[in-house]
Amino acid sequence: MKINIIPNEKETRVCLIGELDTTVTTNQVEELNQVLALADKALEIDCEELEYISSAGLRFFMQLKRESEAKGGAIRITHLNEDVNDIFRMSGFHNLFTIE
Amino acid sequence: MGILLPLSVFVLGILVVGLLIRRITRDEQVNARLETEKEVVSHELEIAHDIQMGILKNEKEKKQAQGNGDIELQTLLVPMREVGGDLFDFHREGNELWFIIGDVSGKGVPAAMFMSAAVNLFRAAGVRANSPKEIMEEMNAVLSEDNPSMTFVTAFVGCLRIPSGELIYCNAGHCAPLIRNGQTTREIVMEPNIPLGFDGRYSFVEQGCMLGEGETLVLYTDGVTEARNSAHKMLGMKRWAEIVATQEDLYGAIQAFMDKAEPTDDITLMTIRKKSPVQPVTLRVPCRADQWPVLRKEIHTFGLCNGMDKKGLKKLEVAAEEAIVNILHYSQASEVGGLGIHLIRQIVDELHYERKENKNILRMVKSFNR
Repeated sequence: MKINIIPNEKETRVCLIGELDTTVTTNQVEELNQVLALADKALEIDCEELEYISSAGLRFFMQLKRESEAKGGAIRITHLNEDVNDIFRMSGFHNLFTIE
Repeated sequence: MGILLPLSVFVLGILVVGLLIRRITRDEQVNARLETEKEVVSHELEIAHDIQMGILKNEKEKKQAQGNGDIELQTLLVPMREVGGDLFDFHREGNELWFIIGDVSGKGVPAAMFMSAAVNLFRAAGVRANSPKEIMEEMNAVLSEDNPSMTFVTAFVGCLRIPSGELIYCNAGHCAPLIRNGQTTREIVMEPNIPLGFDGRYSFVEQGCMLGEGETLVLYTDGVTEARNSAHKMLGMKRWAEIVATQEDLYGAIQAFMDKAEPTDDITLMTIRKKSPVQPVTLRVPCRADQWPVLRKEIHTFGLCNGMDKKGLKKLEVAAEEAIVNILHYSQASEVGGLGIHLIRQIVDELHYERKENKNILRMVKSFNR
């Protein structure tokens, strides 16, 4: 997976590109931590090019939410594709996040 | 009076005759030179022909690819001129047969040069690539570079997993192969991908289907369907499908149709017959997280080849990932594990777990419409 971070005064955009599965959450910890480090800011998680997610990926979203709440940040998730959106819905994560 | 010509006319006559003689001698010299040049070119073309035929796989290599007889492989390439732009190639890796059939635009020497580049690219890409799509994209990237003449190649790249009959393929503007089953044929479903050589960054769509026991995959170039007889009538797709369904000697049938008319294009045929029974897909992997991509590819291929819709397939992949992660973290009853099981239950139709003879058996059942 590729992560593009586009800083902005108002809201930082984080683009997740590719697949967020157990391989990524095990092997790309550093890159994911870079996103977690931004949790005090207002974030747009742009999922336009996120093609796959499993519970390992959902766990990352959960971590991000906790950090964000603790540090006074904000998260909104945008452009979820149908497949990924289905997983958000099935897991109930739909109710936990602002999804646009 | 008639025979007494004035002297001036007589002299002129001699001059004309003299000039004519000189002219004829010079023409003869030129002709002789042209004849030699023609011979040289024709000799070079003969060598080029041998080189081109040498690039193609020979009978021995064909025999090796047939392994223990689980498949039968036949190939034939008849160039219209000494050299041509049609191509085929194959290589067997264990239980997989990788192959290509293709047709370079244009004819003769320029097409032949592109053909030889294409075959070599297929061989080089095959060493690294994991899928027909990857091979196609690697070939396309190179062929699209520095291509001022805009020569292009239509191609079909496939990988037949012989025991299961799963056929994974990628098509770049080539004519749809047929599958013969007994006395009937069906056309393979094709995505309209562009030919190779135009746009090096094009993303090709990969597809899949099944080749059953006794079924034959028939690949060909348009020199077959566009073959004309002496009345200029074209063979056409309908007649070709009939020939494939009913004839054993396909080239013989094409020749019979052409009825001694001069061929207007190269003709290439490749047939792959699955002789062994279809075996279910089984996969044995060590219980390690890094095996997940291996398992995933297997599930993806199965879904693709059996006509599962893309959405359902993605979800099945999620269910499999959750299962394997759960097995790995079996001892840690974490929150994630719970979420994973929850996802599995939502995705599959049946979920069974049992412990038998010191083994954990997790069985997931998912039905789908083809």
